[in-house]
Amino acid sequence: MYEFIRGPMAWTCFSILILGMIFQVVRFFLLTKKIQPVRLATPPRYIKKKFELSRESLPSLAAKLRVSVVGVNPLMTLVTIVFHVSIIVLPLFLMEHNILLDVLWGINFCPCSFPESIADFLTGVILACILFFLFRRIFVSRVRSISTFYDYFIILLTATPFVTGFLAIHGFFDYRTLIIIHLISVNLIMVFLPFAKFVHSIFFFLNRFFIRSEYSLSTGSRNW
Amino acid sequence: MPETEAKPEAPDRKEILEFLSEHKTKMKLFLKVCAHCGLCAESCFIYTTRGCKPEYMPSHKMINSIGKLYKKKGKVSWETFEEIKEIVWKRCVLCTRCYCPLGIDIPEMIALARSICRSQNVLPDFDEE
Repeated sequence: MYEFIRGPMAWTCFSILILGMIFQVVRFFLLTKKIQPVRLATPPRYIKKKFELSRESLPSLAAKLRVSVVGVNPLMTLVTIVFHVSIIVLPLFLMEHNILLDVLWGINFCPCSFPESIADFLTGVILACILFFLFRRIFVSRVRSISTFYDYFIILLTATPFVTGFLAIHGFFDYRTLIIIHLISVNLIMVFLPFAKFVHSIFFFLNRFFIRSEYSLSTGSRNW
Repeated sequence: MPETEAKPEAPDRKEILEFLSEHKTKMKLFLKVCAHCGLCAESCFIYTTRGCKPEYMPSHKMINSIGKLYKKKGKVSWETFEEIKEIVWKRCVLCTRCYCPLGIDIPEMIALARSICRSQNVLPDFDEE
C-alpha cells in the first residue's frame, strides 16, 4: 500500500495538480477580456503610477493601507500572510524532503534546508495559524454564518500533513501509519487544489495581477 | 384584462436555468473561489452602518442569493424568492464598493440574481414605507 501511495497515486495526483492548474489559468484568460484602450485621455490624477517607495510616498501608502484589508483587519492579514508563506516554504526546505529528493533523483537542496529547530518552529506557527482560522470560523458570527462542513474539512485536510509529518519525525505513534496518512492527505490536497476551495491559491494571483481594480497589485490589463 | 397578472404556482424553473446556464462558468468559479473568510464585510457600508450583522456582509448576500439559486438548480419556491428579493433589493444597493481579497466580482453576482428576480416578476416594493 505504501509503495502504491508514494508511487502511482502520488504521480497521478501530481499530474492532476499540474494539468488542473494549467486548465484554470487558461480558463481565466478565456473568461476575462482584455481592456480596450479608452478614447478619452485619463485625467493625470487617475493615472496609476508605478509605485516607488520614498519619503513623499509614505503618507499616501499609509492612507491606502489604512482603508484596505491590511488596516481594517491587521491581525487576520498578518496571520494569513504568515500561514500561506509558511505552508509553501516549509515543505520545500524541509531537510527530510530534500534528503528524499537527493536519494531518489540526486537533486540536492540540502545546503539550504532548514535545521530541525526552524522546521519545528514553522510547523508550530502553521498549526497556530490553523487554530486561529478554526476559532475565527467558530466564534466570529459573520464567518460562522457562511461556514459549511466543507470549510471545516478543508481546515482539517490542510492541518493533516503538518501534524502527521511532525509526529512521524519525532517518533510519536507508528511511523508507517503516520507517513501513509501524511502521503494520502498531501495527495488529496494536490487533487483538490485546482478544483475545490483551494483554487483560491491560483485565482488570488491571477485576480490581483491581471484584473484591473483599485486593489490590484499591478496596473492590470484585463476585466471579468 | 386584469390589472395584475395571476402569480404562477411556482417560479419558472426553465427560465431561471437559462439565466444560470448563461453565466454558469463564472458563477460556479466565484462560488468556489470564495474562501468564506469574511474579509469583505467591512467594505460594505450597509454592513458597517447596520450593526455589523452577518446578513449584510457581501459574501453572505452572494451565497444566499445567486448561490442558493445555483445550489438548488433553480428549483426554488416563492418563499425562497422572497428571501432573495430582500437580499438583492434591500440589503445591496450595487454601489460596487465591496472588496474581495480573492478578486470575486460580488456586485456582478448580485446583479445576476436581480436579473433572475426580474424575470420572475419579483421586484422591489417601491411603495413600501
